[in-house]
Amino acid sequence: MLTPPRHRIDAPGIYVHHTDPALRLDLVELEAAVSSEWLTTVPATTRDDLAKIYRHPWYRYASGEGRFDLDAKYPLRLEGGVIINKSARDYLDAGATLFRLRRLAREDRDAIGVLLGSDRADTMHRLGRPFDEVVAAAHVDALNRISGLRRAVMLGLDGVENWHAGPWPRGTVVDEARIDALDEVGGAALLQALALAILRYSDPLRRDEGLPSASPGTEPSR
Amino acid sequence: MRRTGKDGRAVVRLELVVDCRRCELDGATAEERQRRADQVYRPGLCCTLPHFDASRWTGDLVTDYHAAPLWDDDDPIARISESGCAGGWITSPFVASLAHYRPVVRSGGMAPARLPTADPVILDALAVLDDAAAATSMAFTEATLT
Repeated sequence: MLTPPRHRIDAPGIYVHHTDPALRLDLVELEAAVSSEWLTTVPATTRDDLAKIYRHPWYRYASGEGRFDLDAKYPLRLEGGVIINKSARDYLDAGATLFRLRRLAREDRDAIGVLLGSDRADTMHRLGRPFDEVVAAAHVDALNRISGLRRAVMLGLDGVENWHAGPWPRGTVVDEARIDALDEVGGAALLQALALAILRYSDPLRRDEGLPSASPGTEPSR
Repeated sequence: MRRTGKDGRAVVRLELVVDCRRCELDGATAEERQRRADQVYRPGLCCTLPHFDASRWTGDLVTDYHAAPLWDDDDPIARISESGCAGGWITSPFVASLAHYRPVVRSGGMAPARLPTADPVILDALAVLDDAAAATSMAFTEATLT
């Protein structure tokens, strides 16, 4: 079942990594546990729908459902059945590192998708090619994926607030030095998370956003 | 503000659906309508939630959604029983945020949109909205003039 989108289409995409010390993850987990406990008491027929509706606001934000609109409010069910609306920003203390996302052009998004989906090794393996050729192809795949992640971040990161190593204003060109700085802080995991967030932020319209002519259960075309 | 369409069914203008305090779909009391309005205008959107009893609507009253981007199917009545009140969708922050990017209708013609954009996702959403608006306006005109 579709539910109305809670985000604004023109809200800036702002990504916060789940390891950020300013994120009150303990509060998120506590509230999510209350909701999970309540779900065990509802009829099984409505449980899946309600689990989707009352998924914790931080998890909904982090999944990219709201295109990383930090201020999109989602319902939260507290103890005693009280329902309030909270946004992801409500779980951040001052000083959180905010990665501002930029929407990718379609052609860039498609090109990065090709790099990330590189599967030459799998093809070579299925064709029964010699082992050393498969290994060589696997190396190429890995390089392509890393290249895709770096390219996504170079094109789609538009400044960072509260960056530990000084100002990183909007419009700053993300060059190799900046990528290395990100790598130094969070390693490949941070680069991958940023790249996937940028791609999600740049997704075509989804069904709940009015994607025309989509059949129920189908994914938007990429 | 009910009218009868060419097929004999009542036509409810979207304005009645958008303003939950005036919703006449199921003969709810004023208190119930106010409660729903509170839920919709705050982001609770109770009438679009799965646990809302959709059988309480007489969905066959709603044949015109006028600019509702999600109700351009051939059978909007089926959709409302599945996905909830059109008003809940139309008053969503997502649709409201598109308003800045649409031309404004003024006496004497159309004024340009307040905000220009080259964002591909916003442009796609505007195209969907405009297509749905054109289709539903046409349907409403046909229903009321014939």
